[in-house]
Amino acid sequence: MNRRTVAALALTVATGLTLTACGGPKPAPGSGSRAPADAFEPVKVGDGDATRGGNVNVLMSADFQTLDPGNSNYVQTANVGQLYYRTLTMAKEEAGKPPTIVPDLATDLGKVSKDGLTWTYTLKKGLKFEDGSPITSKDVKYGVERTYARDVYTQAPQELNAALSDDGYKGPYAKGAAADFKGIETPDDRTIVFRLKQPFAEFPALASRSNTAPVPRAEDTKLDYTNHPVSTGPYRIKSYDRGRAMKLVRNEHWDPATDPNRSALPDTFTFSLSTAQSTISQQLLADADPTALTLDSAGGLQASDAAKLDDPAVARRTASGLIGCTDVLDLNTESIKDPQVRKAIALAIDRKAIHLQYGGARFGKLTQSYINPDQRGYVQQHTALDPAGQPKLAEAKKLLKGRDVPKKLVYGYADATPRYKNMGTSLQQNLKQLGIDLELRSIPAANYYTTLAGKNMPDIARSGWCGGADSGSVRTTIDPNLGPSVDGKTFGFSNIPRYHDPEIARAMYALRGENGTSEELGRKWSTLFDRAMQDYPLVPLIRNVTRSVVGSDVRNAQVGYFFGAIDLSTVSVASGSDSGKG
Amino acid sequence: MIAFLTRRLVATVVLLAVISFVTFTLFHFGPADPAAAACGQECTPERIAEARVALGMDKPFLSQYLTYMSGLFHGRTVGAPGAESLCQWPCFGKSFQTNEDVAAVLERALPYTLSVAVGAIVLWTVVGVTFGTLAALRRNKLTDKLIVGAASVGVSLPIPVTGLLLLLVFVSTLDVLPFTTNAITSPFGPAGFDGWFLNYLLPWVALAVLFSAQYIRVTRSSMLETLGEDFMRTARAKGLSKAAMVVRHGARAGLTPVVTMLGLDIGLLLGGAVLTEQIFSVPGVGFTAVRAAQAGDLPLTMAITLLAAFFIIVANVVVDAVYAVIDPRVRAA
Amino acid sequence: MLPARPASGADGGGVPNARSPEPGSAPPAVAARSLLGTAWLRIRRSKIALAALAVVVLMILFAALAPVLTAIEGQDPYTTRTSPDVLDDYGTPGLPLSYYRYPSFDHWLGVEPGLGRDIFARMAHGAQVSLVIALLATVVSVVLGTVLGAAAGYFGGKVDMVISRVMDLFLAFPHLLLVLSLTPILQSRLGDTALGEGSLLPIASLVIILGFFGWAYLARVVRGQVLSIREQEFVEAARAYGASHRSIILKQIVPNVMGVVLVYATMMIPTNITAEAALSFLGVGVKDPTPSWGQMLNAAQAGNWYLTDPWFLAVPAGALVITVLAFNLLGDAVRDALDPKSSRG
Repeated sequence: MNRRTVAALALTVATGLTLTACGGPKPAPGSGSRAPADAFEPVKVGDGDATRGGNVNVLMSADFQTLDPGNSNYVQTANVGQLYYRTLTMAKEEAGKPPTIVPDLATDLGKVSKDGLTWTYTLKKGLKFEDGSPITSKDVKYGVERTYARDVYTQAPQELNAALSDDGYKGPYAKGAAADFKGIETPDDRTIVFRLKQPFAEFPALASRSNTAPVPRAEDTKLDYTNHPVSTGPYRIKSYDRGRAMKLVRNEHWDPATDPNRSALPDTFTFSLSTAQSTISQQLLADADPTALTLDSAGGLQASDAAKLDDPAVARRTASGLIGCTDVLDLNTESIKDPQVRKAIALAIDRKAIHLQYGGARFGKLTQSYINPDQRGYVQQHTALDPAGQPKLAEAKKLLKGRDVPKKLVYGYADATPRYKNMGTSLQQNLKQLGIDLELRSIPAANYYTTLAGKNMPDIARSGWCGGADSGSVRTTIDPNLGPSVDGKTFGFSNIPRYHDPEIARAMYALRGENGTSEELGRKWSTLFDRAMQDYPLVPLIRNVTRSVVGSDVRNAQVGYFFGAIDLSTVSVASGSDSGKG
Repeated sequence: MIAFLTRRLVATVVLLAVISFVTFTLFHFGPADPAAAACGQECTPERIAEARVALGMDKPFLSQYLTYMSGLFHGRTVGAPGAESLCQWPCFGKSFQTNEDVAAVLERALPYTLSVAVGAIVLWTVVGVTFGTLAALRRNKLTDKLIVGAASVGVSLPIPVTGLLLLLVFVSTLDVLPFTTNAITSPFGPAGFDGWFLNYLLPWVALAVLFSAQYIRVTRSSMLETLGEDFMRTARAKGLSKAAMVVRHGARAGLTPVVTMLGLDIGLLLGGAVLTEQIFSVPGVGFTAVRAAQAGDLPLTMAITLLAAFFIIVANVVVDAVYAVIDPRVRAA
Repeated sequence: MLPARPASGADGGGVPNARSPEPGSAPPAVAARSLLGTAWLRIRRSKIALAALAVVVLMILFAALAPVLTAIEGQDPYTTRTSPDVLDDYGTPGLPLSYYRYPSFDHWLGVEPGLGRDIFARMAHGAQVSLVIALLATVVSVVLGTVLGAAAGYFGGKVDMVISRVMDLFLAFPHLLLVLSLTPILQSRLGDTALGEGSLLPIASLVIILGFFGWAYLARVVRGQVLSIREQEFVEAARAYGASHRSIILKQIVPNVMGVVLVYATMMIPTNITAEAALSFLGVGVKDPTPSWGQMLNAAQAGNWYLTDPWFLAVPAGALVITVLAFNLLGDAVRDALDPKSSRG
């Protein structure tokens, strides 16, 4: 769920400038970064440098969960994936803003039929796999088919599949009728036609998910495909020593003429896997390797590192920006039934203290809503919460007068993260003021979201959302999180508060089937969301900010809104830093 | 002798089998649902059901155990029907986190654990035996009292305290040693002996502080006992110098308990120095175990428990055998 | 079959167990009546032993009086203070004046970074939790070890074989690894019972786990003792007079193994204190907001706070080391007292 799904961005003027700036004077290290007027303005490092060559060394605290595009539901692997696979469309990052969806393998963002039920894509000419064989529409279709084999690929992204018709399909390894996929047609080698159940205005974003990365059927080694996925992007995997290191080198069959989205400036990328997180942050802060950067969340920084970020030498090397991920506190509406009690709890929470657990303004911005004005279809949201995060105790106590107030509530937290536990400690103090005894219960991090979706959902829990399949649209945040329930008893996996209001549910159902643009439908979603939020099923907390320190030779480093880390598709190194390690 | 060893070996195999069964049972009936852990974040009931089939959890308990054990000897296929993949010998299953062969994960972790163990063992043995002998020779003098006092403090320093203190002083404040990196696994690699040495120095010291103290105590008391025995008095009467005496006679008799202790400690440490590896972020077996436990990665946890038990038992057998060679009376026992 | 020695210390697969005393130093049987008296007479002669005893007694008093002391201080271990006058923008206490970071009149040992809770109050209440766990776990181990060891030694035959094999099994398990993965399992099992209430849960589960894994070595030693006592004349004589098993065990055997049990019990306590610290440090033992010394070490390490705020580490580390050292020295003294042969003479 903290899963941040892929989405994209328009080709900006800046990218064009990058390409023409080759002959110009080289910017001094870090000259691209500037002191932002607003603390949350995005900051890029070494913007505009066009030096080709060199090696980028990516430090990571853990091995990739997978490199198989068909089994990847992680931002980290999607970020790396930009380097070695391409999809029909692509979510192009621009720091501080939701990514723009741009064409990648396809010639455009897709042609939709009048009824909104058919989307047609045409592949560009001259596309090749890393062995030089041509990429056809069949390979794209096969890539999507694999993601239906959910028993094999447990992390296969499902947003695209959920929109397509043919629910009975069980993936290419199944036998009989279940093995014949009708959701996609390939009339010729360059045309792909998707058949949808309902209109889906954000479909081009769905087509940017890793499902549409072409996979040659003959090369499909199933679960072992992760060890060497066949490249369609600017780099291919030269070596992958699991748990230790990976090296990417240029893929000579990638044609830059077909791909305006990836600058592909460095010659190679090395990945140092499972370096300890404290080592990563210390190395980056000390500039131990001038070509290093990290993909770890929050830039691999520890809470105590915050003070060091103010050192000017470090600040010059720090890329930052608001990212798409927002954290909220879910209030279980099945156990805390009275909306007024939920509102009182929301008002009693010291959000400022929670903000401090995130590392303060350096790592997050207090937010009043789950959705934000940078998203398509946003309309003004209303809340009684204090914008500065101070608790409104008097008001909360007044609301509780004469109400049935629970004596004891349970807060569940993922045990691997100290910040979430500390949040509970703070909440405990706040709720005590209302006469509510809060018990803290740790939940194994691995089972956290499963527990929240199951019958053991505590009364209060934190969750995060990074925008869904199209982080640029409000719909893919609202529908999964407070989406409608048929009967008020069964809920979508991400509707953690189990929120149900019959009227709002009916309206949302109707909206799902409606045909229109993402913008106009989004405004209707936002309005319904604002109404639902007056019942306080969840309390908005923090919009996450990522600060990522990079080595002094790293250029074009920007924090991706969706990736929550340095965007690998733009990054490069200044000349003279050829520290490529075998 | 051969009969003795055979007996020991048979007992060892039986013990290992029992341990594997007990461990498998403990984890099997644990509350951490392996299917939920295996199916990751967005786990709907249908997906859990699919994961159960893929993990073979729909089969009866005993058959699951037998399948697991047979994999240890000749590999097996794992995964959902229709998309099985081969898990090579020795198959401990596949990690829930990365779907990698557990054996491969362990193979990768072992060099780190070995690096930590080798240096630490050498360091504490040298320090422990040297100072223990010294204390025995200077019995009741100031040297002895200082050494014994230091040993008392040493055994009272928990690893988390020593470890964090070392990091705070030598890495963060004085900045004379690096944070450990995972790029170095042996003294023969590109980083050379120096790089390896500096990288593992702090973990060694953290372990050695605790262990040397124990070795000092054992060496001292066993040396005292030996020095008081008849043959030593005879040797002294023959006019041998004290140093020569200790080296020629004292060492052999006096160090037997140290050798025993060492054998067992090596066995323990090969199973992963959990705290040390965790504090210094050395991705060895112990570190892997903590991560596996946190992630509910049962195949990995299970395999590490078995591996560690294996090392402990083998170390015991080796110590037994060595003992039997030294002291024939043991064989009759 | 194994000449097993308990895990020697605090790492490498097997933490929780008593350290072995030096070889050949198992104390001989001493009659129970004079046991404590003899011990006290000898301990009284050593300044170090007396000091250690004093520290142990003081620490136990300190833990017992934790609520009183914190009341005098005017603080409690749970109240958070995150306002800007206490914690700065970085979450560190009171920069630039550092009033809240270090000892002051209001906060005797300063406040925590991040949450601003009173460190003294947490340390004192943590002492309670840490010591209660260690002592109760020791009691569990001692009772199990003595009863099973004595039964094996006294009855011999099949009883001995079964108990001995179980001991082998326990000694061969990598304790720390197993405890690490079993504690969460046990905690969720206990979660539905009366022991599962709030802060009781981790305490109860640690007592059970540490106690359950700590008995085997003591049992082995007791078994050896009983084997030799059983053959001695006064036991034979009692048997010849037709004394019942019960009476022989209670009147002859038990008093005679009390010495060895006492020695091992004193040594087991510091080991269990360390084990609690280790497990809570790794995040599977006592959990926030309940304080214990291990939990405080864990909090100091989380987010690398100890690097910017070493004081935060120093308090629990100091309390832990002083207590463990005192118990260890006392253990040595008790052993020496009951076993003149191993004394440092």
